[in-house]
Amino acid sequence: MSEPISTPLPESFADLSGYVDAWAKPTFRERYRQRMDSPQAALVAFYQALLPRMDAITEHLNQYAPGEVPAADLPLYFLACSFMDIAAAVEIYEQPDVPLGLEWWRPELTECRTALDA
Amino acid sequence: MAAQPDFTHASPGLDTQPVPYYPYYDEDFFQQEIDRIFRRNWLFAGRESDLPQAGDYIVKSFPPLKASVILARQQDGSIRAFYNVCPHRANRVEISECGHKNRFVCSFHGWSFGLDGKLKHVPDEQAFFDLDREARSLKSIAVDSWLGMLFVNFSPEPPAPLGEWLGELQHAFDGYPLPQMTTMLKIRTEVKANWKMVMDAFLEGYHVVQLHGQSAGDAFTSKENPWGHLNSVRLYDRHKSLSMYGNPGQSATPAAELELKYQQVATYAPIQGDRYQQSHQTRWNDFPPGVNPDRRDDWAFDIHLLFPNCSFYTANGWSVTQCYWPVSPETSVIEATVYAFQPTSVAGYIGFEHTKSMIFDVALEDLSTVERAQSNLRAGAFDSMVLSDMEVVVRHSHHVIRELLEQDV
Ligand code: FES
Ligand SMILES: [Fe+2]
Repeated sequence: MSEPISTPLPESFADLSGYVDAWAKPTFRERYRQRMDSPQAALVAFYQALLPRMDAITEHLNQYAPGEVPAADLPLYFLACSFMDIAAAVEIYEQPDVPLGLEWWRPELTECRTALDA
Repeated sequence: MAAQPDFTHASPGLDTQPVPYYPYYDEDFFQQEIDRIFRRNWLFAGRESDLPQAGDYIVKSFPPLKASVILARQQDGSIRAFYNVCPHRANRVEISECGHKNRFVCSFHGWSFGLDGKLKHVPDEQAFFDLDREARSLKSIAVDSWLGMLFVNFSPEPPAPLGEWLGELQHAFDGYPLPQMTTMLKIRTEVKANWKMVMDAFLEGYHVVQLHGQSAGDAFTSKENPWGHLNSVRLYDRHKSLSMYGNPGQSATPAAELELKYQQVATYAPIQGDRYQQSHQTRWNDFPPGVNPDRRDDWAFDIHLLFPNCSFYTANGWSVTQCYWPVSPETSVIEATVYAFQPTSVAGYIGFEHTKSMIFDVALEDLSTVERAQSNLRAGAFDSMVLSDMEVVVRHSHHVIRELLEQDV
């Protein structure tokens, strides 16, 4: 599950390609780890780049049914998921982790359904 | 003096005295909880939809009973449950977590059992002495379902039926669409704290303003209700329900707005949820009586504690079960499962991703205090805690458990 994704983004989202290596990660845990490992400035930059593009991304991905997103478009889906996963760090906490919270790696989160499932 | 409404004084049997610490660590008290409470009540095991077809099974462990259980869908559609213990020499019969089989085969010496638990085949059976095949089948455990939720009961005597045990709650959710909701995610956490320490931390609403001050924003408080006082509380013999206040005028962050737009539901928002209601033709008045029982627009969600340890959340479009499993007096396992209507578009899943991360962040907040508090109980500073009216559910839990343990066996 942790293979790096090297597929480029669809052409109309080329402006976001600089974020693929860090953020197009296929699981919540990997995305959350990236949030924890990123300086706040990187989270803010990613957030600001993605926020105005979210509607275009979801519109693009909505041409496919869940479970049928082609491999070439998965990095875009994972970027959008990362945006949702890091938003609180920018909008609420103003730091990557939850202040005074339990160590983030202790709860085991199982994703039972994602857009990869039919 | 407590503010209105005074839930504590309104509840017969509850006093307003400090509540002692020792039930959070005492070994003898703990053992009695296991023997007299966990072994004698219905315990949440999963959902019927986890094993939809004949031959489907799940394996679930119950730490307080030191037991692993197989739940299997039978050919006639019913579900049976068995101890996952080989009647030969105690090996664990099924080691996967779920799957589909016609029979279970023990990996030690190859005894095999049907879906119904009956002993089917014993290799070299003639070498045994008067083997009683009936008595050496998988040992069954009572199992029953409610709202598509499965409960097992380890009681040595035949237990009271599930419906009777649910009491006032039995029909309170008739029509609630939990069976139509999909299991979206699970979170399992081991903590160094007594199971009640964790349950109490999740059940009362007093902590929301401080502990979730940033993450909850103005979702549970308003100018009219600055402390987020509960809409209502219902305290029963063993179970209880509470309804959380939700601020109809709450603000939303840009990501929360996107969550709503893509997924058509905001996790805590009654008014924003209206859009969701419209798309699903639901109105408060169509809800079963146990969901938003006060029929208030300023409602967030309800929590129903199915005694002893399963919190069942009802809300507009999502549900949660969260079980607090004792492992030892000062260690527990917390298992939360989140249910929602399955997204019908990729955008819906992207919306749910915000719900997911918010649930995770808030869980890190909720779990942050329990080990710190647990580790302080025997410092000698205090030996009891004072509880406000907002924490009446905590007082009720301690009251119910104490009463049960004081009863003659
Ligand atoms: S222990 Fe299972 S067959 Fe021997
Ligand atoms: Fe909380």
